[in-house]
Amino acid sequence: MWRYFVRACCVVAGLLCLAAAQDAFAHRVNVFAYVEGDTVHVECSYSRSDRVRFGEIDVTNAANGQSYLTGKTDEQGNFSFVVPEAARKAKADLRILLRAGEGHQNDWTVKYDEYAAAAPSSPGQPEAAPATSQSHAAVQAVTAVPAPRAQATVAPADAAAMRVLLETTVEAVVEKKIAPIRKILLDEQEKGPGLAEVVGGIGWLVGIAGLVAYVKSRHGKGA
Amino acid sequence: MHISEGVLSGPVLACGWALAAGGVALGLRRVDYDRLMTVAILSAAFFVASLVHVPIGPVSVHLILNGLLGAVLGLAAFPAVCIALLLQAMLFQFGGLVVLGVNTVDMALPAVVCALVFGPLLRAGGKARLVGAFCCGFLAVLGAGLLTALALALSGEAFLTTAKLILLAHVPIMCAEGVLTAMVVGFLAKVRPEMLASSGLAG
Repeated sequence: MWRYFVRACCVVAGLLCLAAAQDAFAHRVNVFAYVEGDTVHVECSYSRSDRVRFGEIDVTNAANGQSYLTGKTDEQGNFSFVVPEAARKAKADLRILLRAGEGHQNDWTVKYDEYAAAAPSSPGQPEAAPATSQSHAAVQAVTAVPAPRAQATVAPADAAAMRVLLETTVEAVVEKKIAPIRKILLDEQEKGPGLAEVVGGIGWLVGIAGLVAYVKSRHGKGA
Repeated sequence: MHISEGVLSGPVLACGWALAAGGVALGLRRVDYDRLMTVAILSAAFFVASLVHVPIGPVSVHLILNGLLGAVLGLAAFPAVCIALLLQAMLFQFGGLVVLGVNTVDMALPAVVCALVFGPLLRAGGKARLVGAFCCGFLAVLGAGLLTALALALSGEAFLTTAKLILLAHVPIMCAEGVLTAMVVGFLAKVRPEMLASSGLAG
């Protein structure tokens, strides 16, 4: 009995070591999306090393399920799309659904706030910006400043253009700075279950078996 | 082969739950006081097995062990698989609670069927037992792949393509499972023969 028990323990310990050493899990697909300017980048993976090749992407309005666009991830599991104008107008949160096939599916939601700040135009042509609702808001903000400060903004149109330029520049710099943090977040999300969860799960099983044994033993005495 | 939440249609989910509930209820009847720990240990083995990844070529596959559970536990494989999958869903977010029924049936049903079919071989001694155990391990994974593909097909995916993809990816693991099941059953037959003798299927 003891020899059997010791052997069983050795096997479990060996399995645990293997489990801890591996970080590839094909049970769950991960979707991670972030906004850069007016483009949403989506990264899809089974794990850090295993990308979702040619997974189906479906971008919908998170509130009502209206479909905006569909596509497929590339070899690296990446997919990028420009925020659809319809979504911007509807102030919709974008639900990005990944279907990796064979029953694997996951989604990620990009909130409206995340992409609302970025002007839909490319950073190189701020002149085109005033046509958009976002820049309208900027113009309104500038013109709506209280009277004492209004004299500072000599030409509102110039100020608006300046503001747009500044915003895009700051955004680009911040984007660069937070890239490593985003990587950490992504890695964190892709991390599989750790030793604590595994041991905890086994503890649960032993506990359940113990409970059932206890109940059955009382039952046996009563009968 | 964990099916994610939100992939399957309502009727398939309901059907999965009904079958799983039936299987678990039947299986629990077979669990008496003496076999409780066996069920718990094998449930733990199943729970951990899918975390152990074996790299084979470009893909990494993991052991499933459903055939082993069927061969040793018989019908009691149903509750063992169900609890292990429940914990995986809660702790690791593999699969999910709504699809738990379907996932349980996918894994446990082929295992139980294999154990029924190869029961006589398993109870025979020597090489026949090893052959029976290998078939249990091999075919239970095959059956699990087919059932998974079927569940997906009933919810809209093309059956043949999905089945082919799943089965091709699992050919190496079927062989590995077969060998492992034969080894474990052979080992148990030497060390703890009573564990196999009461595998619940004979009566």
